[in-house]
Amino acid sequence: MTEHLELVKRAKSGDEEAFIRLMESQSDCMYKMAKTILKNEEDVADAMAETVLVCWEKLSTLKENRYVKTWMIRILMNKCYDLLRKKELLLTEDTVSEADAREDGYGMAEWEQVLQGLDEKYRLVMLLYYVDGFKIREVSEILDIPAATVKTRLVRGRKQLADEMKMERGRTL
Amino acid sequence: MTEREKIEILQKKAEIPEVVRKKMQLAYGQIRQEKRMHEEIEGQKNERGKTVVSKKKVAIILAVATLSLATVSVAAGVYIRWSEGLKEKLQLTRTQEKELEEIGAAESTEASCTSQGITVTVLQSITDQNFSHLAFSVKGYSAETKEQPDFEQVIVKVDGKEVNASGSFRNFGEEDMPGYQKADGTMEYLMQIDSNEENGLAGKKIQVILENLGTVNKQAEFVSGVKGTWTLDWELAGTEKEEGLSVNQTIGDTDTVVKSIEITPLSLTIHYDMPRKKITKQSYGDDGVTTWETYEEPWFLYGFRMEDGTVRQMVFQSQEQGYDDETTEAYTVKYATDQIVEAEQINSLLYVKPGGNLQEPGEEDLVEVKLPK
Repeated sequence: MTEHLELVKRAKSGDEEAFIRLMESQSDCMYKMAKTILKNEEDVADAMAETVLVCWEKLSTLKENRYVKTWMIRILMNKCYDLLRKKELLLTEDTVSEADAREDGYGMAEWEQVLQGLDEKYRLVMLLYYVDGFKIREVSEILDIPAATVKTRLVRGRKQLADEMKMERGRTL
Repeated sequence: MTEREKIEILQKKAEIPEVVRKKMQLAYGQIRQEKRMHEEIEGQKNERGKTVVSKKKVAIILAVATLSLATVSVAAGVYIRWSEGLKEKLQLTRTQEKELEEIGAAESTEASCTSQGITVTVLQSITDQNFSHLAFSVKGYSAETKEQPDFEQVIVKVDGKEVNASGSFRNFGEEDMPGYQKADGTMEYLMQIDSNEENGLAGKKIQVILENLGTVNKQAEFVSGVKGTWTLDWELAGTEKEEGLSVNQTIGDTDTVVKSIEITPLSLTIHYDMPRKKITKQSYGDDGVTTWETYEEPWFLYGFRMEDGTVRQMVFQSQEQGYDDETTEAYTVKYATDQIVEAEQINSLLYVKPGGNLQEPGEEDLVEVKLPK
């Protein structure tokens, strides 16, 4: 964490290599978040690259260094939803691309298949809490939903994972 | 697979595809290129008429300065090094930094003074006609404790006249875990001064005298650490940029008229036409209750509504206000802002109605005074 904050401080003073190291250290969590929302790799690449550029431009406006990850994830999510909105304008209902429509799990990484088993509304909450290590209050701020809703979604998300496990057992018996 | 195992799979590092990695590398390349261009522009600026002092030369000056008890060195016009503390304090974006450099508001100097093994160097100044933000680097003082370091006395003179000044060491840590020392072992002392003079601060001779370095304890008392005096003299660079707007609008349903405003990068001056209304105020002290008569003040200025519709709360760092003279109804308030103000981005002034929430007002608490375009 100290190293992380040191990178933020150095990046804020204009050290671009410190900034790049900071972004690289977050690339896994950025990728999972963007992929969960966008599904298409090209779009994920665009959203992540744009997020990196915005973060570099706006880093000096970040008031509290310790909130850099929350701040960066919010920027990324906004970028993802902007891209989704633009695509919705471009695509009619019957021309959804193959990559976007793929929900059958084919070619998906293992972590994506696990997420696939969850209702869409639980996916981001589970990722932010269990993968990125955000606190409930932080998840609530990032997703702009009440903390109580975050708690409920976490409980229900875990329950879905457990239910799926029972179903898998049932199928193998 | 158990629920725990599934969560562990989620936590495993993802394999980031080539297409994503390539795009990220392109973005990093763009950032590196932008940085190089920024440095080249700064280099060219120095070639166009400013005295460039190499870092090596500065190091020699500092080494010589440490030989005597309190020796002073000045190498003016050094390329602009942004103070980390000042950038954080004023929440500057890179675009704003560039603009402040271009209009001549931001300057670096190498005025420096060493006493008792502690070297104080002027890092940077950002100055307009009314206010100046100054950043000093303090080297050689060990702030091992988490207590806030401070100077016992600070005196600032502009053209030989004492001016209002306030300053503190920048906390680079967190509120509950302060950290005043940077990675290079130096600390930053940030100061703000304001001018009482009509003809402003830019281009004036400034003298800053800092006396005795110590810490401030929990009872807000100064605890002496190192006795010494650091005196720094140099000339303040600055901008005369000022945007004046004639407004002539009342605030809500009151009879107070916002006549005009002047906006500089660091300050805001509002001229009102405000009929005098006497009010009685009370204060409670050791002698009991003191009552006095004064005049009603304008409503509390919360901040601005920007062109894009967002509300920008301004935390004004200082404020001077009052009627222009004994007889007039002309009332002036001069604010030092905590952020760089871009006049062209401001759509309206936002005032809080009496009784409204001053910290986090709702839309119903606010009254808007639109600025002319």
